[in-house]
Amino acid sequence: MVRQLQPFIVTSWHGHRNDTDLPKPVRDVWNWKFQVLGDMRQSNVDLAVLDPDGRVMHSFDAFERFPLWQGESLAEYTAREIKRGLGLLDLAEIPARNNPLRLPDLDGKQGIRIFVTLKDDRMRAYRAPIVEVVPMSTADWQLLKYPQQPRELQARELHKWLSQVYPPGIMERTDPRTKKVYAISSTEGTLSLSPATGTGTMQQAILSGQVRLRDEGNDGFSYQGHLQVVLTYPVDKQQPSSLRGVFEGVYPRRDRFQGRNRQVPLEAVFESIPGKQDPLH
Amino acid sequence: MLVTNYSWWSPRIGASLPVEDKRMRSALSLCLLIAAPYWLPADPPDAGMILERYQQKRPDARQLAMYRLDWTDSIETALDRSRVEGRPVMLIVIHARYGDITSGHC
Repeated sequence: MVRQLQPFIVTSWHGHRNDTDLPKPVRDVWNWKFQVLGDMRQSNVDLAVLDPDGRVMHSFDAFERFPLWQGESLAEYTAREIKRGLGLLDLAEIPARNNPLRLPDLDGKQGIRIFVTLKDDRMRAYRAPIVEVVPMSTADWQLLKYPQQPRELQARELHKWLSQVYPPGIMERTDPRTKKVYAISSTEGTLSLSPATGTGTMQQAILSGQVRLRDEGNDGFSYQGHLQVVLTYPVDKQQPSSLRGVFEGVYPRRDRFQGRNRQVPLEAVFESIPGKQDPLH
Repeated sequence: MLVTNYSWWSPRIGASLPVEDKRMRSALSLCLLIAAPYWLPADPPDAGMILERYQQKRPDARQLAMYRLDWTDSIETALDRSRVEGRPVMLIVIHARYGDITSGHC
């Protein structure tokens, strides 16, 4: 499917039907969805193939309503519909492309990239990694300056980037009024930052400890995990030149059908993003 | 005072101690043996092992394939580029107030 999508410029839009500034292609997609298909069971996500003039050539629900054959997977269905859309384009030749992997970054600013994965076996879509980037200031790095002796650090001081460790699309952790996902409101735990054995030109430190995260839900919900991060410093510098580490925890998911919590592994990987302006990186 | 030779059981535990002391010492040794894994300080985490774990857990190119797509930030930019480059647009429409499909957090 990713190969099929290589020739496309890909973008997304989100909003509601009563929004005043609906882009025309969105209006066209929803006219078809709500007026033509009407009350059919549909998801809240649609995909549309637009020609270079912005005309909707083909659109389809992300949820498969009519499998072409029994057992057709969602990926096969999507690939089939994309192919159908491509066939409707009046393009003499769509040049083959092989786009490089381009992860979200900070346009030359330094920071931390966070990959989050919920290892949910029941809903495999959750296993797709989320990628977030958080800019870091000198003051943020200063908190992680090289420890001559082991010292303690409060997880809340690192809230800026640790607060990104939450899974996507957790319906039960959404504000029922606004439909907005609860943000992580508190990051708790006492961490230790200790010097470790480095190499000749670099020194290392280890940041580790238990981290508990709470969201805005005000119902006592929380989850926790173990954080282990390696910070590397040039021997003559206090500020780290790189950060790499992992968070391994458990996220309790409410099973609506069985009325109990499932403990689902939640993992995050952290890595520093070098800044173009920063000679340290 | 009753003195019993316990050297047959543990020659390293003082053979000439009073029996109550020996029993207490034996019991203490056993308790310490059982408790050792819990009260001995854990090995400090090893930087090499953490970096290895980072490598194992970091999503690979296949898992990050979505980032091989030519994403643009907005529908307007996508349409502008599409006209100039003569390329089609794949538009993902989400009927929701919130959602960031680029990061995956929604």
